[in-house]
Amino acid sequence: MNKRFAILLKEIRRQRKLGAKRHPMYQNNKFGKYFMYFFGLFWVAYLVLFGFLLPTIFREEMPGMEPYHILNKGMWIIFILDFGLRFMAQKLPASEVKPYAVLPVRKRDVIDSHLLLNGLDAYNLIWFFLLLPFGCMTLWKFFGLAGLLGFLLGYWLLIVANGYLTAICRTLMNEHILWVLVPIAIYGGMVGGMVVPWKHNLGWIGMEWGEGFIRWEPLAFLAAIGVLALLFVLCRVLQLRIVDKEIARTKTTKLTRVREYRFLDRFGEIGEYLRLEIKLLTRNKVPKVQFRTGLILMIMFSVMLAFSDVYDDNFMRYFIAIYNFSVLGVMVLSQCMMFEGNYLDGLMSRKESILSLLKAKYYLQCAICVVPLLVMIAPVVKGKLDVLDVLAAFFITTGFVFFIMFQLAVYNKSTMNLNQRVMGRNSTGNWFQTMLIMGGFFLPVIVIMALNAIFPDGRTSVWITLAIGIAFTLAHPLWLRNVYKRFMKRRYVNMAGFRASRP
Amino acid sequence: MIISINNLHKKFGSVIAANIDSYVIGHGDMVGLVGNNGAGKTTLFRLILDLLKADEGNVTVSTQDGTLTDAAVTSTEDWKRHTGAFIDESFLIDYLTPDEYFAFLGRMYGMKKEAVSERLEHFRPFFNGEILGEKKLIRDYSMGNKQKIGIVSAMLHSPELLILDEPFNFLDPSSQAIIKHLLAAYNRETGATVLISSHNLDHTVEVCPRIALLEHGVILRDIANVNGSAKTELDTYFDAPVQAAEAAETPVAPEEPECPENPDNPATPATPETPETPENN
Repeated sequence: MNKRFAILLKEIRRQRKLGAKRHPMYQNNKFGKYFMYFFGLFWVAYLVLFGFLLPTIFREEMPGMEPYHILNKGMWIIFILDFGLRFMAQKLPASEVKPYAVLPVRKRDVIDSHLLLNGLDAYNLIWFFLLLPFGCMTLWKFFGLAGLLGFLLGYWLLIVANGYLTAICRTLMNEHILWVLVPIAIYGGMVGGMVVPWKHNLGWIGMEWGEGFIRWEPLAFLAAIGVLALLFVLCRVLQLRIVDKEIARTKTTKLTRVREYRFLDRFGEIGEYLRLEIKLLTRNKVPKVQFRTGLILMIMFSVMLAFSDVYDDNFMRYFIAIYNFSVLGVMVLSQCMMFEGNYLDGLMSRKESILSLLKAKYYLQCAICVVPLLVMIAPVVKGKLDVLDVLAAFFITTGFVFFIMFQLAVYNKSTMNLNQRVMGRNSTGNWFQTMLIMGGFFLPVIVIMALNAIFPDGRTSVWITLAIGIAFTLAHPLWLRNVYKRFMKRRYVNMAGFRASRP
Repeated sequence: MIISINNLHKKFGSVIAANIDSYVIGHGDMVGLVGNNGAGKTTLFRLILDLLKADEGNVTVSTQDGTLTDAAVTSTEDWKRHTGAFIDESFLIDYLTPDEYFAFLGRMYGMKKEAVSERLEHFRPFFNGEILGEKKLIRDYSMGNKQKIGIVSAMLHSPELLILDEPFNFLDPSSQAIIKHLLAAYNRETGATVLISSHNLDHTVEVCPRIALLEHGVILRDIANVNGSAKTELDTYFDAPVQAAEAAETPVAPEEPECPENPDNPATPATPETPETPENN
């Protein structure tokens, strides 16, 4: 490694540490910072707990095999979970080259530095919180410290390799969404490979490979190093190919057709803002992905409610029913006004435009609720819910849930990037936002369960819920105007916040 | 529109951004705000547009039609119908095409589609064939074209008060010439009050009959610019630190010895005597 590369590596490492310390999630948001610490600790504790529990669980469920054999067979599940965890948070080396583009450093050196540092990142050790206690409980007695160390080293090599594979998949998917078939094929293939009824299936390979690590067999380690090296090289080649594109990135949105949505003309100013809302959702990456995710979740839960017994108890039925209606609205409205933070100054320079905007948001979210109304036909036909339940869920969402969520329009004051997911920046939640989101999801169900306890016949509570929902829905002009007035009272604080957090 | 600034104070931490006891901009005035970076120009505009809360004082407006008289900008939104402003990109809804954005604004101000189209025709030379009729989102345009979109969006509804922050930024020389002409004509023909800020003294002096010199939030001078007369005063003001620095650097020349006066002609110094040489003797 020559001296210049070593200096560059040291410098990039220092900048990555500073970047992590100055992450937008932590900068102005103490709650977010401590929430992430808590979440991290929770996840670690969870892994440690499973590390201690899994040997016992495996012995009871599969008494004919040693627990470490079972874990090794299922090692592919660890890689799938690891892929899921890394997917959103991982930065791609090619996207980090831009600041160095005009400096006297080679682009390939910058990419190599990032790839190397990604491999050596402490994050790759996170699975050790599971593997170490597991290994201590299952390997030590047979193989001692050497076996445990071999086990950990082998898994570390494969986890690092998985990191490079994740980077490859993400890079490809950034180029075109169809490349999503690659991770589907690879990780889907892992699942398929484990369950296929062959003697030497992927589960068998995992078991033998893991055993090889434990016994320090050279072939096992050579294979792991080989996979790691191959994925490193592939990742490097890909990053180098796209780096010039990244540096010159002037991605423009190609509009083949400019939709006018003329049917909205009849609604005057609110129609204008409805048009704006629709374009916000359809022309910007972040809200578009959010909308798609909410839609998928909604359909998924509805299908599970209709066709499985998983959610057959009362609490879960009501929760899923309300969740189906409210998931999209809660996801979108939890960030109410945060997208508008990008151009709020312009909106504020026009009279009462914010009130029209709030009304448009409300009407659009109500219109979107017709989609779950249709999707819920399946559970109604299957007898899991009746029509009254569905209507109660619909109106409690358009009334009570949206009433809660629109309060965030008063208090949200961070601008959200329309097209770039900056990990942490787009989830600048404070405790109040989190409480309201929890309230939006759980309060209606808690209310129904409480009413059920008071009126055990099961129908009175639904009628009361329906009445509450209709009342809040009909009263929307009043509470929207109230939200608008409170927003205007706080406008300077909010505008300053939006301005300060604009990308 | 008449704008009255009354005892307006604004600080950001320890930095004074606005400190104006009293300043009045009358109907039809065209005022250029000049000052160094951090002088408080943009802050003043934001205070006038009620985008920022003053620590003390207020800004009041009175419309030409009398519907508003000495109305504080913080207490009512009615003045917004008469105002058009463009400060920076954050005024633009960048996921719309320019045509969509102008149509949106037109409808916000109660303009019919035909009126918007007619008004945009007026700005066609300014757009230079690049903005109208393209299926391109505002965010994908260059900074110069975004600036043009912003300026036109502020002028579209022919407001009584027009506020433009650094309108000449990012514009090519031809566009700068066009916008100077457009602004001057707009002020002349409609009697609208126009406030612009700029770092370009030449443009400001060429266009604005009244210039306010701002420094650390204070309006130091309110200069009547008659036939470009303000240029000298502004040049002197902005050159002063440079000249002071140059003066500090220039070494002081040693004093020349005094020549004895010629008694016959006191104005003429006497020629020193030629020293005797052996040859002379």
